[in-house]
Amino acid sequence: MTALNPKISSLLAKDVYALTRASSVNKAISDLNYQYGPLFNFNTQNLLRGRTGGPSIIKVRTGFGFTLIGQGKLKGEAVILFRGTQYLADWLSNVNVGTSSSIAGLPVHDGFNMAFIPVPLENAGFRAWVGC
Amino acid sequence: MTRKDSDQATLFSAMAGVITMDGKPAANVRLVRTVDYDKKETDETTTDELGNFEFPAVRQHIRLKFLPREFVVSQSIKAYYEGTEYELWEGVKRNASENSESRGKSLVVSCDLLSEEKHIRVDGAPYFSLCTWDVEPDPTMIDMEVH
Repeated sequence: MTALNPKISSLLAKDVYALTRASSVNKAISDLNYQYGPLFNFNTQNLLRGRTGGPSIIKVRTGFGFTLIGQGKLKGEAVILFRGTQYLADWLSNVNVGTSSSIAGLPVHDGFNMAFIPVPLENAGFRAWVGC
Repeated sequence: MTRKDSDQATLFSAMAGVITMDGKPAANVRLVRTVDYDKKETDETTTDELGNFEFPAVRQHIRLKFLPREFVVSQSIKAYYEGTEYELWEGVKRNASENSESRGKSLVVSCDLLSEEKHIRVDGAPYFSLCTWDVEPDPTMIDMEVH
């Protein structure tokens, strides 16, 4: 098995911003296939959405990332790809610097945890984390 | 450059071009341009009898620069001609500088409404368009042979 190399990882971490702002999920998937086609499997279920911001009245629900399943030389690999700070509202999540408990019971940045919770992450066995 | 100028980001570079239909100039094509940074903004123009059009640059003062964030702008141009809508241009601008869509050169496009949509990346920014312009696309992962 060929592990993700740093070049692919860094490109994915950069690309996630444009992908989450594409006009449609299909356009984003098309771009992923164009750039990484032989390496990952994509479908319209791959988009992750999260809610960032402060109190609920000013929370912003946006594209937050993608899940990618490796194929070919990357078979057996998977990536959960999150974007970082893109909207001013994201800073309200950033400055929420307390900790809260993750699903695994470990302390994590509360701002991220609150944005992450709405993400329907049902794919198991992921090995690599990129972005954020 | 004044301090005010340095705070200006180009959300959509000035664009000039010609619209054709199957190779023939398309007059009176309504072009609606949308940019979305912090909010959606729309303007529009119409082609002349030779199919020519121009859009000025869309610039915006960057608010709260002390709170850094990624520059990500959705771009769109839709064309309306003889009762049909065409997606002329869709892209995501990832660089605040003028003409980043064409690596610094003036953005001059040729667009045929009957052409197939082309997909390229320029400096990591994806563009889907019925237009062609003078720019060298990024290599893909296959081109770079990193896998």
